[in-house]
Amino acid sequence: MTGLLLRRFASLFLTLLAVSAVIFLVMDVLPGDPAAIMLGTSATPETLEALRRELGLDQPLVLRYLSWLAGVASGDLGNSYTYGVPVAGLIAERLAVTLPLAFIAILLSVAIAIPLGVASAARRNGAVDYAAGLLSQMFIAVPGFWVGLLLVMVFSVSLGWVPSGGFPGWQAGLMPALGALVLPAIALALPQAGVLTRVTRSAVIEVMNEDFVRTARAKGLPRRTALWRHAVPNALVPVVTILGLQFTFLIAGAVLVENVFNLPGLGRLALQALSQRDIIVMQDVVLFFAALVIVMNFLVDLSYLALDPRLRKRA
Amino acid sequence: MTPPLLRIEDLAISIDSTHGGRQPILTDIDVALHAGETLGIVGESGSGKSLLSLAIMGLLPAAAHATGRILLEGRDLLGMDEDTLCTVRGRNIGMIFQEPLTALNPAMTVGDQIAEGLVVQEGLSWRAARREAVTLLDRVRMPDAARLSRAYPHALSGGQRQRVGIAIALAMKPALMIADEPTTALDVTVQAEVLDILDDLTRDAGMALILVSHDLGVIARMCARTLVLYAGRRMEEGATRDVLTAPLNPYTRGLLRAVPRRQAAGGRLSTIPGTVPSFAALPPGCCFSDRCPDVIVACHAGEPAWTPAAPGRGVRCLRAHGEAAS
Amino acid sequence: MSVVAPSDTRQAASAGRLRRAMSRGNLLIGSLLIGLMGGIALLSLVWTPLPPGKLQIVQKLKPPLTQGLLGTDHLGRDVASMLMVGAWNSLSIAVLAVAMGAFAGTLVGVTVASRRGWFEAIMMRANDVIFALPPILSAMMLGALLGTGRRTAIIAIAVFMVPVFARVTASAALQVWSRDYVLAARGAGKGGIRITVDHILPNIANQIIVQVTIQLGLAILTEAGLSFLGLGMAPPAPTWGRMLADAQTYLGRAPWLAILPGLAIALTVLGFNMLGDGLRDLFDPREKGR
Repeated sequence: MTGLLLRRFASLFLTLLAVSAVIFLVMDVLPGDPAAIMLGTSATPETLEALRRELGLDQPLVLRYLSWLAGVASGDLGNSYTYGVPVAGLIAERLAVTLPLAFIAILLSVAIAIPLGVASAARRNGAVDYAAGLLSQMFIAVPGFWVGLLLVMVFSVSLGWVPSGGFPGWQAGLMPALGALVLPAIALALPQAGVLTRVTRSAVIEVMNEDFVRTARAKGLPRRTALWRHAVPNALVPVVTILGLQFTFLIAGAVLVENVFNLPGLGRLALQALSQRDIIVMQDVVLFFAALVIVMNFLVDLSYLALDPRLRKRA
Repeated sequence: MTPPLLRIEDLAISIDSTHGGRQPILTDIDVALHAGETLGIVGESGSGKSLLSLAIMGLLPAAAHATGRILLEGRDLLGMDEDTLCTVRGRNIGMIFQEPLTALNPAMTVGDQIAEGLVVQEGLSWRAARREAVTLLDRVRMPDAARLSRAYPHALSGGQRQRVGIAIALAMKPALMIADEPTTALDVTVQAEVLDILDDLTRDAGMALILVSHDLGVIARMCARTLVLYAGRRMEEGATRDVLTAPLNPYTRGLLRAVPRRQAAGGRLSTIPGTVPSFAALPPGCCFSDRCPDVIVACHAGEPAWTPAAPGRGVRCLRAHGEAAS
Repeated sequence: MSVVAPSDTRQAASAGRLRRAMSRGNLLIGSLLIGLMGGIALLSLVWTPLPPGKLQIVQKLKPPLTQGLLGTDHLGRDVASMLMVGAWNSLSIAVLAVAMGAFAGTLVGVTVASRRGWFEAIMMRANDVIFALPPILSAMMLGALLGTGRRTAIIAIAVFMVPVFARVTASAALQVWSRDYVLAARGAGKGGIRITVDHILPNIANQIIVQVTIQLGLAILTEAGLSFLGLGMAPPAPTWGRMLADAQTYLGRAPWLAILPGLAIALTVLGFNMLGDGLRDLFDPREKGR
């Protein structure tokens, strides 16, 4: 068990290291002088030189990478050029929006997808199955940010039930803050729910054909009980796998949806950094997003141990 | 005479074929089984014997269709609605499956899998049901039952898993137990032990047992009566001793000759020529006519009828009539 | 009389027919949608109702059918013409990006399958790294350095497609490698490249085609997202994504501006997904209904 955990941790660490190197290299190797980009066309040679020194651009590549890594490891992500504040603080502040948003969206998509997928599988080729199939096909095809626009159009502009965007901050209280995240979370959740519904359906159909479901029925369990108590728990491994893989798309979707709803999250920070040419912030935010995806997939790996007792033994 | 516990009358089962239409599998099945009796059903794989046991449980796959009657204590299982069937399964009929590994839920402790039926059907609390599960594991001679009841199936050996299977089927003390090839997937050394346990427990509880197997040795050991199936048809039925020592049907004789036994050096194991034909490609007339060593022209003309030879004894073979007459 | 619940029986009897019809329906509707969108995109190269960039400020924010077929936007541009050119821009970016990604990814995948060992380990790690960087993030990084635009969008999407295709091809190719006739070919002294060209690629082509179709849908979605954020084609070239971004300000006054481009995106993606499902069923009937 511990051996397996150690191996997984080592692999997580390696992947994170590789991602950081890639991000660093891309930002460094591509043509374009970060100092010049940050200062724009008005820069004089002196200020350019000064900024280069401040950014450490006069030092060799490997040294700069290592000092960046050391900073990241110790929580010092450098200072934002435009805001003049530590990037770590900026990220922490924005994370307080993005993380709850992603979390609610995941919960919502699971809450939609599992019942829908299981119902489809239980009555395969029935009316529910076709309706759910059609619905998930539609969820997958519509862009989440467009769903966001439509939600704003209906619930804010036409009905006036909720503000069309913005975030009051957590200090405004739990309900107003959560309220501001509901529509964005729905917009983010629907495409995920579409994918998950299809995966759940096919996973449950596969497990329903297993002998142990028949054993459960032979005990006199009603179809429904056999389904939920025996088939569904054994179908969760593929569902959780896809949930982990989909996290990449959830992050991408979050950037878009934050933009639709004017939420001060990480995605907007990255975009602002891009338009203000604040390369340090960009680099750190991208690394942070990538790390989030990698850690999420690591957690999914670990969750297999909880879902499948056979793996615990092998570990 | 008391009415039988299980009475199957004129049962036929067909399956939707992929090309549309239905393919008959089992035809003209009649069985009567009294409380506490043991019946072995023998046949090669593909004879439809597993489908028969699933039909009694009401667990046929959706593509299968049954006609006729399956009466359990006078109630027709085929006409029963799903909710009522659920109360019959497990409680009146228990079933043991062939593959002890895949027949158990890998994500549930074996104790809970035994206890589950008691909770759902008998309304026991999980606590009480788990205690009962340990008792049951004890009865199927599981070593260290209390500890192993908290284990997952993958941690058990094949023989231990099949004991769990027996404990699940036994939990609600059904009057009828169906065991479908219960030892086929097990090591030879374990087979005898599992059969012993099954034999003792059904005998103690006065349960009727239907044992489905391709193995005549297993049937001979466990069952008082034997029914021989071929291509979904009854070929011969009778007391096991009669069927094995004085078989009326050439097919049964072939099966008996194919049983491996110690022989003089150089002796070769006899086999039945050919293979079981697919249901879509049965020969005209008697279904065994293309493989039968005793075949005569008349065998191709039409399917021989089921003929009672003596009380509790019957056969489907033209030549058997001749022999009975001569 | 049947043992199973009557509804089950009916279902089972009609299931096969319905499934086959569904799969044909997927293929039919999918190709119709893609044909329609592709046709519109191609048509936009030679004809649009009005030049898509033509400003008519006096005619701004006119609803559909009052001015042009689909109304005008906040600058009085003809929405129908913009959508048509947008179709070309979206589809051409998606096709180019997927073609590049599929080519590179397939190359990596078949090489991994024929080489295994350290090469496989490195490539799979690289896949994990790329997969952690969704196109929107890499487009931001690239955009900061190269400037945003069509080229950046194509590269960002294509790079993300490489691991997707590498995984699919590698696992499909590995299955073929284990087949008897490949073992026979190896025994006859054929080299890895020769076997890949002669045996592996022809046998996994179907899976690659299905994957290309599905990934085209994803690329359309990604391109729309990028141009929504201003990371796609530079203005004034009309794109579906930027039309949606512009529409945000006029949700109350001009809802059609937000609805129409979204519908165009959704129908195109739906078309690719249905086509992909239909092709999968066509190539591999066992997978039907999965």
